[in-house]
Amino acid sequence: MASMDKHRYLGWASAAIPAGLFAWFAAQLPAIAAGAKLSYTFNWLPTLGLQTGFSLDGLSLLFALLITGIGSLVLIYAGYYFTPHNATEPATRPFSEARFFAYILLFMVCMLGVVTASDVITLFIFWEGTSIVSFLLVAYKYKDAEARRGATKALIITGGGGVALLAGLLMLANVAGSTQFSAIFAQAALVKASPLYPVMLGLVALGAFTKSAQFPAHHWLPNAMSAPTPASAYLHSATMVKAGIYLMARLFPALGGSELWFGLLVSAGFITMILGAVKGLFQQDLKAVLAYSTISQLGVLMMLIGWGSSTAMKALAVGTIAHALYKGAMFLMAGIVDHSAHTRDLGALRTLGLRKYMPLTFAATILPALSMAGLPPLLGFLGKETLLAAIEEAHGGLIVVVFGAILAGAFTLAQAAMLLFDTFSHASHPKSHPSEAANHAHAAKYSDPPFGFLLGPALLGVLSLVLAFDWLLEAGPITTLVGSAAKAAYGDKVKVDLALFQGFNLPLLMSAMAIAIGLGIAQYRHRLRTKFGSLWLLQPVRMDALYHGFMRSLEFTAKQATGLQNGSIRTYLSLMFIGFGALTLWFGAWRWPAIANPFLIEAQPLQALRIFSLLLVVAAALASVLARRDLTAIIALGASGLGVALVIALEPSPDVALVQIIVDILTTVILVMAMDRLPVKMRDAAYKIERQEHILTRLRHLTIAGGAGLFMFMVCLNALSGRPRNSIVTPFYEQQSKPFTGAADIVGAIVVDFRGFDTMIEITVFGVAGAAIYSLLRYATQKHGDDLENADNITQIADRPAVPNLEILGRATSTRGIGGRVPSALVQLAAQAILPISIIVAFVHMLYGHDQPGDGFTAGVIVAIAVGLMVLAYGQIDTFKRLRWLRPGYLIGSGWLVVMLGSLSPILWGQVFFSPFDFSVATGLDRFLPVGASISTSFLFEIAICLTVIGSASWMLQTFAREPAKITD
Amino acid sequence: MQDLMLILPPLIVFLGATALLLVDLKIADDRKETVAWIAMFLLVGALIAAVMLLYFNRTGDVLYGFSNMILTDRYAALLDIVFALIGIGVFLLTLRYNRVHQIMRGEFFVLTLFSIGGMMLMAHAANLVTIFVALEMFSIPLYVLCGVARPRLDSEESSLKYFLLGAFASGFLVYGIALMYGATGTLDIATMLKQVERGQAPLLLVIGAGLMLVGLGFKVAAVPFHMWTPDVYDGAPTTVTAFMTTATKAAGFAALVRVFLLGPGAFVGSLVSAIAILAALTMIFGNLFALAQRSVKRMLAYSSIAHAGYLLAGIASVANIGQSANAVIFYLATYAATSLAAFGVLSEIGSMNRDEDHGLERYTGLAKRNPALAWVMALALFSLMGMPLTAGFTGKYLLFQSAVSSGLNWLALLGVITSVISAFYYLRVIVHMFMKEDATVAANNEQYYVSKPSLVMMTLASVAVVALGLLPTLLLNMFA
Repeated sequence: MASMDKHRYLGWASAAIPAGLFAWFAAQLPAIAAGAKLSYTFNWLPTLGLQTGFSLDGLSLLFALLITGIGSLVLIYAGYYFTPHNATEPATRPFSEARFFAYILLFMVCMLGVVTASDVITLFIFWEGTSIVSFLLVAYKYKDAEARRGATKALIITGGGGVALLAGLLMLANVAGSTQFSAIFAQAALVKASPLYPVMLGLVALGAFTKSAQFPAHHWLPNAMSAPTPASAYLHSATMVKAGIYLMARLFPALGGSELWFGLLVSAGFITMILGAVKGLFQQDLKAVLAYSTISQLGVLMMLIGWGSSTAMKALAVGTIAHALYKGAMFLMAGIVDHSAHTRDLGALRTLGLRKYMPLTFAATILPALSMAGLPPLLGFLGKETLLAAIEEAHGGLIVVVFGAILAGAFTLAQAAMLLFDTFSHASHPKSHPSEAANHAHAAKYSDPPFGFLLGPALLGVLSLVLAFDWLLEAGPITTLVGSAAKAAYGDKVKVDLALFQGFNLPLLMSAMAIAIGLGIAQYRHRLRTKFGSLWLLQPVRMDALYHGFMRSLEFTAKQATGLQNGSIRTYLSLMFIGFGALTLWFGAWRWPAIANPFLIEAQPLQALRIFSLLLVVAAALASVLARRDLTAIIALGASGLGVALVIALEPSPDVALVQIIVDILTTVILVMAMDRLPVKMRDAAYKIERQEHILTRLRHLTIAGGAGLFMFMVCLNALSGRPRNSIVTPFYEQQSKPFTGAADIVGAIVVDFRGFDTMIEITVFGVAGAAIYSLLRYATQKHGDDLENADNITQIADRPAVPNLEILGRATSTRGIGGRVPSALVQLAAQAILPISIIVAFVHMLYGHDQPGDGFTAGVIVAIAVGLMVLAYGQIDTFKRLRWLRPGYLIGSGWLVVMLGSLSPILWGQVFFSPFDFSVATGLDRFLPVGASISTSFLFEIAICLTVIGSASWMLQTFAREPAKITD
Repeated sequence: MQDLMLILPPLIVFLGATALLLVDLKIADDRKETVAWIAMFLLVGALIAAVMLLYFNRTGDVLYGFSNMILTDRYAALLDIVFALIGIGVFLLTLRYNRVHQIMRGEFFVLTLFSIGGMMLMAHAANLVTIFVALEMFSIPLYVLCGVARPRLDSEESSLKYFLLGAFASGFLVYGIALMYGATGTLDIATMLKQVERGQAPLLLVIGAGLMLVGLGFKVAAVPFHMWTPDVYDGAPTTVTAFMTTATKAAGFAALVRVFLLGPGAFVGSLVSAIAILAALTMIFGNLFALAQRSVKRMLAYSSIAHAGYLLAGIASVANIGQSANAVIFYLATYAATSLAAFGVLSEIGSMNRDEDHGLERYTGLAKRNPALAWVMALALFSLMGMPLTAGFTGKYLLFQSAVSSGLNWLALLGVITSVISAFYYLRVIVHMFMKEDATVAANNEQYYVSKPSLVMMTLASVAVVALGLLPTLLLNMFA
C-alpha cells in the first residue's frame, strides 16, 4: 500500500502552497481594513493605453481568503479521496492522479486572478481560465460519456457567457474611457447615462448569471457533478460559482443602483433561490441535492447584490462566508460517504444506516448541516438573519421577496435535515431492518475514514460555529473582513454588527417562521417526495431539453445552410452574382436612372447600318442562348462579336474593330476545336440535362443573367454621362505620336512606342500562356493515353487491350480532318490557297501598320486563322507535318529575339535603348521601299508580335485539335 | 537604385525563383528536397531584406518608387516578413508530406515562390494596376498548385473550380478598377484618396469600388463570394491548403487595407456599411457552416471563412484608421501562426494515410498516440477560438476594440457571439483527441511519428501563438 500513501503526501504537500497564500492574505487584513490598497500593474498593450494588473481590496481579500483556505483543505482531502478505501479495492498507481492536483492548483491561480484583477481584461482572461480548468475537472473521468457531456455543457454555457461578458466589458471600458476598475468607477454617472447602458448591463449580467448558475442557465451545475467530489466541493460550491457574485459585486459601484439593475438581479436571483430550494428537496442523488441547494444560495446572493443597500452588501459578505464553509463541508462529507458506501443515492443510503458504522463522519456533519439549516448559533443563522434584515429594510420590503426568502429558508432547512438523517440514519421501516449477519458485513465494509480525510469537513464545521462568535471580540476578524468587503462593494462605509441576538425584531420573527415551516417540511419530507416527486416541474433537469434543443437546431441550421455547398460551380457563381446584385442595390442602384440621364449623352446620328449592327448583336446573343446545339451556340456567339466589331468600326475606330473581328474569329475557332474534344455523348447528355431543368431553375438563371445585363447597361449609361467630359489622354497621344514616333496610327504608336516595354512583356506572357495551355493539356492527354505524337506513347497505348492496336496506328498515319472525318477536297484546296495569301496580307499589314490601321497582333492572328483552317482541313498531325516551319517554340523565341535586337540596335547609331528609330532612312534603303513603308524599330516590333502570336496560337491549335483516341464514343 | 531597394524582398523571391527553375533541372527527382531547402534559403534572404526595410525606415515614412507604382512602409515590410515566414513554414511541412504524396517536384517550390513574390508585391502596391498585377501573379501559381496532386480527382476539381471562379473574380476586380479610373481619372490610390477626401465620390467610383470588393472578397473568402473555399481547400494538397489559408488571406487583406481602410474606401459611407454587412454575413455563415462538418480539414476551411469575417470587421472600423490597420495586420500575423500550427498537424496526419482522410475519427484518441500533435492542435484550436492567453484572443480583442470604438457595437457583439458558436466545433476536435479512445485506428499499425522539420515548424508556430498572446507588444511595437 505504499502507493496509497503517495497521494496523501501529494495532497499535504500541494496544500502548502494555498496555505502559505492564505497566511499572506490574512496578514494583509489589518492594512486593507485600514483602507490601504495593494496593486501591481503591467503594460500589456501600451499603444492602446491598456494596462493589466492586480489589486487587493476588501472584497478581493474576502474571496481570496476563501479560495486559498478552502483550497488547502480540499487538496489535503483529495489526497485521501484518491486512495482506495480499503485493501479489497484495486490499488492506484503512484501519482496516477497527480493531474488532479495540478488542475486544482491551476484553477486556484485563475480564481485568484479573477478576484484580484484590477482591470476588465485581466478579469476576463482569468474568468475564461476558470471555465477551461473547470471543463478539465468535470471531464476528469473522461471515459465516462456522461462526464464529457456535462463538461462540454458547462464549458459552452460558462465560456459562452464569458464571451458575452467580454463584449459588455469592452463597451463599459469604451464608454468610461479606461479598462481600469478605479477609472470606470469614477465615470459611473457617465456609464449609467450612456444609451448603451442596458446592453452592457445585460451582457455583463449574462456572463455572471451563467457562471453563477442563475436561472435560466442554472442547469449546467447539476450536470457538472460528474466531477470528482473534491472538485465539486471546491469549484461548484465554494469558489467558481461565486465568481459571478464577485463580478456583480465588483461592478456595483459602476453599474449598480438603477431600476434595471434592481429588476434584473432581484428577479433572476429570486427565481433561482426558489427553484433551487424546492427542486433540491426532490433529488435522489446526494450531490444533486447539494448542487440545487447551492443554486438556491447563489440566487440569494445575486438578489442581495441587486438589492444594493449597505445592509444587503453586509449580508452578501456574511452569506458568502457562511455558505462557503458549510457547503464545502457538506460536499466533502458527501465525498467520504460515496468513497465508503460507493453510492450517493439517498434511497440506497437509507437502507444502510451508516451512522452506526461511521459515527465520526456523522458527528462531523452535524455542525455544517445545522449551519445550512440556518439554526443558531451558527454562521448560517447569521447569514439568514442579515439577509432577512436587508430585504425587509430597503425597497419597502417587497412582500413577495420576503415570503420567498422565508420559504427558501424553510426548504433549505428541510434539505439539511434530509442530508443529515437520510444519509446516516436508518429507515424507520421495521421490515428493512438488516439482520445481524448483514450488520457484521457492513461493519467490515463501512468504517470511518482516517483523520486527514475528515479534517476538511470537520474543520469547516467547527469554523461555522466558532466564527459565529466573532462579535464577542473587539473588531474580530470576520467583522473586519465583512466590513471592508461590504465597503468595497457598496462604495461607502458599512456599519457591521454581527451579534447573534439583536433583540426581538422582525428578522428574528421571520427567521423563526422559516425554522418552523422548515421543520414541518422536514418532518413530512418523505410523503412530499413521493407525492410531488413525479411532477413535471420538479424533474431533475428541465432546462436540459432547451439546451439540447438549441444545440440540435443549431446543428440542423448548419446542415441546411451547408446544403448550398453542393459542389456545382453554377450555384457558386449564381450566389456570387446575387451577392453582387445585393451590393449594388445597397449602393443605391435605384438612383441610377436619375443620374444616368440618357439625354446628357451626345446624340449620335441614327444610321441604318448602326441599327442593323446593334440588332445583329442582340439577335446573335439571343440565338446563342436559345440554340439547340452547342456548336450553333458558339457560332452565334461569334456572330454577336462580329456585330460588336461593326459598331466599333462605325465609331469610327477601325484599329479596334480589326482586333475585335480577328480575335472573335480565332476564339470561335479554338472554342469549336475545344468542344470537339468532348465526346458527343457527353455533349448530348449535357444538352438534355439543361433542357430537362425545372422551369423555376431556368427562371432563376434568367433573372440572374438579366440582372447582370441590366447592371451592365446602367453602368454604361452612367459611365457615358458621368465620366469627365474632357479626356486628357486622347489629345496627348493625338499631338505627340507623329512628332515622337513618326506614326500616324495612334493605337500602333501606343503599342509599339509609347508603351513598348509593356508590349515586350505582354508578348512574353502570351508566349507563356500558349506554352502553359500546351503543357497542361498535353499532360491531360497523356493521362487518357491518347497522345499520338511520338512512338513511345503509341506503343504504350497499344499495350492497353481495350483499344485495338491497328486502328490507332492507322488513324495516326492517315489524313483525317477534325473529328476524324475525312474532309472535302474543296476545303483542303481553299486552306492551301488561303495560307500563303494570309501571310502576304499579314506582311503588308505590318509594313503599313505604322500609319494605317492594323498591327502585328492582327497580322499574327490572320496567319493563325489560316493555320486553323489548315488544321480543320487536314487534321493536326498532317498540318504540322506539311508546314515544317510551324514550330511554336521557335516562332515565339524568334519573336522575342527580334524585339531584343530591334530595341538594342538603335545603340549602333548612337541612340538609346528602346528609342524609335527608322533603319531604312539611316541606311538609305528607303528609296527602294514602296511609298509609305519603312523598316523601323516599330516594324520590327510588329513582326515580333506577329511571330509570337502565330507561335502561341498554333500551340493552342496543336493541343485542341489533337484527335481524341475514342472518337467513336 | 532606391526603387529596387524598396521592393528588395519580392525582388529576391522573383529572381531567386527564376534561377531556381534552372537549378531544378539539374537536381535528380529523388533529391528534390534540395530545391525546398534552396527555396527556404531564398525566403530567409527576403526575410532579412524585409527586416532591413523595417530597420532603415524606423520613422515609418511611406516611401514611393517606380513612378509611384509601389510603396514601402511599415505594413508592407511587416507583411513581407509574414509572407516569408509562411513560406518557410509551409516548405518545412512539404519535406515529408510532398514526398509521401509524390508531389515532391521542383515546380511546386518555384510556383509557391512566385506566388509569395506576388503577395509581397501586393503588400507594396500603391496603384490599382499594381494591385491587379500582383493579384494575378499570386493567383495563377495557386491555380496550378491546387491541382498539383493530379491523379487525385478532388485535387483536379479543386484546381479547375478555383481557376474558373477566380477568373470571374478577376473580371470583377479589373472592371471595378476600370470604373474607378473612369470616375477619378487616376489609378494612383493616394491621388484617388485626396479626391475623395475633398468630397468627390461619384457613384461610378462607389460602384467600381464595389466591384473591387467582390473581386477581393472572393480572394479572402467573404460570404457570399466564399463558395469555392471549402471545395478548394479540401481538395488541394494539405501543404497547399496551409499556404492558401494563411498567405492568400493575408495578401487579399493587404489589398483591402490599402484600398478600403487606408485608401478612398474608408471615406464612402455606403462602402463601409457594405463591408460591415459582408463581415457580419461572413462571421455568421462561416461559423454556421463549420459547425456541420465532420472532416477536420473542411472544418478548418470554413473556419478560415469565419476568420475573414472578423478581419472584415476591422476593415469596416474606420473611426481610427491607423489602429484598425494595426489590428488587421496583427490578426493576420497571429492567424498565420495559428493556422500553420494547425495545418502542420493536418499535414502530418495526412502523411500517415495516403487517402487524405481528415474525418474526426482519425483524430480520435490522438493524444494517446501522439501527444505532441494533439497538444499543438489543441493550442491552435484554442487560439482560433479566441481563448485568452493565446494570440487569437489578443487579435480578436484588437479587432473588436476597433469595431467598438468605431461605433460598430453590433458587429463586435456578433463577432463575440459567433466566436462562442465556433467553440462548439473546435472543442469537438479537442474532445475527440483527448477524451475518446479509438481502437480501430490504433490497431491500424500506422506510424505515428512526427517528422523533425514539421516538429520544428509546429514548435515555432506554437511559441509564436503563446508569445503573441502574452506579450503582443513584441509585434505591436513594430507598428508604432
